[in-house]
Amino acid sequence: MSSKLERSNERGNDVKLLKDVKLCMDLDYLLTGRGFRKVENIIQVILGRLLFWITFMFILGILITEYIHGSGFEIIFNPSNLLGLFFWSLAFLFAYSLYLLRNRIFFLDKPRTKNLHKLRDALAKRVRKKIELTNYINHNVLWILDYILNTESDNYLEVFANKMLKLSKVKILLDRLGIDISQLKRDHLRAISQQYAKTSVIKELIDKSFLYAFRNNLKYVDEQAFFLVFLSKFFQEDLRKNSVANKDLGGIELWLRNEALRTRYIELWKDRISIKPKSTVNRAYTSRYTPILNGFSRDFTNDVIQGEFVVSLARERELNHMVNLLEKGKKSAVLVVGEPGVGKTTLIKSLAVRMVIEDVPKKLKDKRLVGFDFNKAFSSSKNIESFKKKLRSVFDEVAQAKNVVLVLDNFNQLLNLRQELAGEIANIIIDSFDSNDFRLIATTDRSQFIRFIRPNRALAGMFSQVEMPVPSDEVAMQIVIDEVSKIESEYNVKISYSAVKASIELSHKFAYDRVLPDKAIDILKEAVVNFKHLSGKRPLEYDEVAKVISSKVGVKLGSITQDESEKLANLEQQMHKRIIDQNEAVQAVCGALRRARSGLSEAGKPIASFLFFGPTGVGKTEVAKTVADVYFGSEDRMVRIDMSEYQEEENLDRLIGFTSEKGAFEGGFLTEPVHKNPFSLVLLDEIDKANSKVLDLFLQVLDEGYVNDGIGRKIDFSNTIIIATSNAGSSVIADLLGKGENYNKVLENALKELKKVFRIEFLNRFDKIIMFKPLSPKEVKLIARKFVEQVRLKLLDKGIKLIYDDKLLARLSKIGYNPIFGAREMRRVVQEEVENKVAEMIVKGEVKSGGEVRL
Amino acid sequence: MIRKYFLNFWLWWYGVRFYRLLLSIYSFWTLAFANLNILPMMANLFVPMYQDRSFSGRVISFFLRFSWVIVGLILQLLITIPLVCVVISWLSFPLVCIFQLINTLF
Repeated sequence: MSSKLERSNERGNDVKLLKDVKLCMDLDYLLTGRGFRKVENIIQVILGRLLFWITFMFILGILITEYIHGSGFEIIFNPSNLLGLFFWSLAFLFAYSLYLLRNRIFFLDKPRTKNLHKLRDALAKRVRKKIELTNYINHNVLWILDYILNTESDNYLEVFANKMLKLSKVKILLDRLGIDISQLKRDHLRAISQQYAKTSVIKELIDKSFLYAFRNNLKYVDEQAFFLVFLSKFFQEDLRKNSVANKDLGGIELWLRNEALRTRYIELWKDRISIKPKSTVNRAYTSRYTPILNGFSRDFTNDVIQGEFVVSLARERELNHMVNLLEKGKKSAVLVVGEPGVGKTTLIKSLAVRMVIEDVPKKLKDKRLVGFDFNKAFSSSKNIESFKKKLRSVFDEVAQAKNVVLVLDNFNQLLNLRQELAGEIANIIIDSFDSNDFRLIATTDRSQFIRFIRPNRALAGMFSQVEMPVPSDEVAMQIVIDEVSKIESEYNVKISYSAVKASIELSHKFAYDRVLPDKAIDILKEAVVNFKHLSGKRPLEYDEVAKVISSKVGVKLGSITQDESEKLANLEQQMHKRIIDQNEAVQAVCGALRRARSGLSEAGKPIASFLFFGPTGVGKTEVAKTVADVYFGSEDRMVRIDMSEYQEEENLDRLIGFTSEKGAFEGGFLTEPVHKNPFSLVLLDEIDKANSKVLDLFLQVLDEGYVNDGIGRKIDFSNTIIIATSNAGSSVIADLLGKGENYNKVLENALKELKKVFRIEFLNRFDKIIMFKPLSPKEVKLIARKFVEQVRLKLLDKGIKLIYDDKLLARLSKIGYNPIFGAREMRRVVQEEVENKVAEMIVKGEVKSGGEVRL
Repeated sequence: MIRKYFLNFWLWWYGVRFYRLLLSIYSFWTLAFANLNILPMMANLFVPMYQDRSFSGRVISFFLRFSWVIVGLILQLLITIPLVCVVISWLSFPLVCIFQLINTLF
């Protein structure tokens, strides 16, 4: 059975209900206010208040005087003189003052007894054939419409916008959207105002706002609904400039819908709490007290009665499923299975809210939802026998009480209090459930269910399961929005929609052991605490949340700052400080990094993947190190795997991890570092030497951006840069370049060689395959200079000046470069030829601080 | 103006506001009725209280519930009387004012 509120929400969402209904709009009615509706209303209220107090005081004065004079109330009941006339005139004016005061809503307008909630019910019963839209507009909007329609202006839309922007609810809405009112450009509205007739624009706005309010379950067509429609119609450009996409407007719509539901829940809660029993027995006194359970319990329904309640649209499906299962028969046991942090306890709390507002089947009405704290019961027990006795007593109490739905949160813990006790406790539960009638809800996570519950078939068979999957981003958004008002009031801060969006989107970038919505809520709370000094000043935005996550992962997220922008623009120059030539490789890598930082890289794949091939010692690994340093902030962020160690198929386990004979899990050399630090550069050195089965693993990594490790964990590679290196095709490259062929021709032939080594589908998975050229003598000399410069700077720190000439560089180039090994030997040669010589001179005292060395 | 400031007063007093008043009184009345817990007691007149299914438990429960219902109904009646007075006062107040004014003048 779906709940009343949910059915009502469905109706609210279902605009099809309006299909056969005639929608009318009486603009004449709006025109009758002549533009002074609001002014008249204000005057009327002031007059009413004056009249009320004056008449009240006079009447009181007359009554007191009459009483003091002891003439009774003769003058009132038998008025014959001027005072009597005065008294009854005042009495009538008193009544009239009530009219002026209390009817301020009805004075100029048709009675506002109609609202959209009632309309939905009427439409569901098909008793309504015609709807007058103006009856459902709230007064703030009505006053503005009245003013606009009755005032001559060639820029009526700007007047409308200005009046709307003064309303507090509209200001809140813009805060949520992260739009600054002063930056909202209104110049273009003049042209639109002159282009379109006023009445047709107003009619369209009313029409769309009505549908908006109707489908979002609002009570009236209020200023927020009206302004959102107005904004999306006339401020597309401003929304785009403020990075507000249509999807975000949808998110705000969701927010409004949640707030509308919360308001309804609060109304229902206020209605119900006074009739709720003050003790633990039910209203009919048919139930029993539960003294033992009360000592170790948390009463969820009582928490709701005390005002602590959650409202969530997000888990309606699971909640209804649970309610349906609980409703069956005289006894029922439901097991809620879901990952930690997925919202199992929140689901229980939502059920408690439904039970308190009596939006549940009859069998669950006037019942308590009580969580049994078995850990407390266990720790307060003298011994095992005492605990078992207590456990039996609790089940007996619940069975006899008849008004308790028992909750065993983290049920697996009860079975795992002591390993040797698991069987006995399970038997107590099964026996109690078999011999008594009661309703039970237990929660556990999937792995614990498999480990502790499923093996006991009798126990597992007792329960009906409700699966709680990890929510999608959209559902998580709803759940986080539910939490926002609580966080806002707790920390006295305003949270914008973009901050909520950031907490969801960016939560995927860290804490892989945790799930949505829990980790998004935690990020949001952490951001609120970190930026508490902003409380009350401005709403918490996307970038604040991004900063919190950036500090966790060590990579900049959120919008690009000026400094960073310059750094990204000059990325090539930065890389060339470390890498000599290899322009194609540097450009490809820099392009990929810029794409990743600007958010244009493809989701669900690594940030970038490259295959570098070419002769050895030409800078392939150096490029990888530089990328790790430049993008991830340190060379330590590089996970280097020597693929020549994975020449056998059996070696695959070492990459993804395996369970040892002792039962312990040995993390993989590939998966474990990436799991611990997802923002890494993965360098697969000499990939051509790896077994083909091992390479198949990387097909998935490169294509899907994840791989399952040895214990089935999903290891995410979407924040990694993958660089594979290979020496395949080096000889062809050297030969053809030696013959003076151009780069493209050499690349073409080298790729043919590469295809002989790797399968086509493997090569196709890389974003780019980059050929590294052998180094020219000029480049070798530059490399030699780079290393000698490093030595020079080192000596300069010690106060020794190193002077060298081109001859030294030429000599080093000749010794340090080999066509087969490239410049790999250069560092060693510089050590021998430069560092060793200078060191010898220092040791012998030939050179001291302040001196110089010539080489 | 006459309609707005004079005729509408009567429409409001005996129409919209009276309807609202009735709704408020009805909601107060039902809330009081629910608080007195009369219906659950009537519905469970023969059901033992606190699950005490012994003969004495059943007898005591019946008498307790029965007396609860009787007392509850009396209290509900006591609540109803002033509410009816409020309704009558509301209906008669402007008319009495006018009547007394006319009575004084003529």
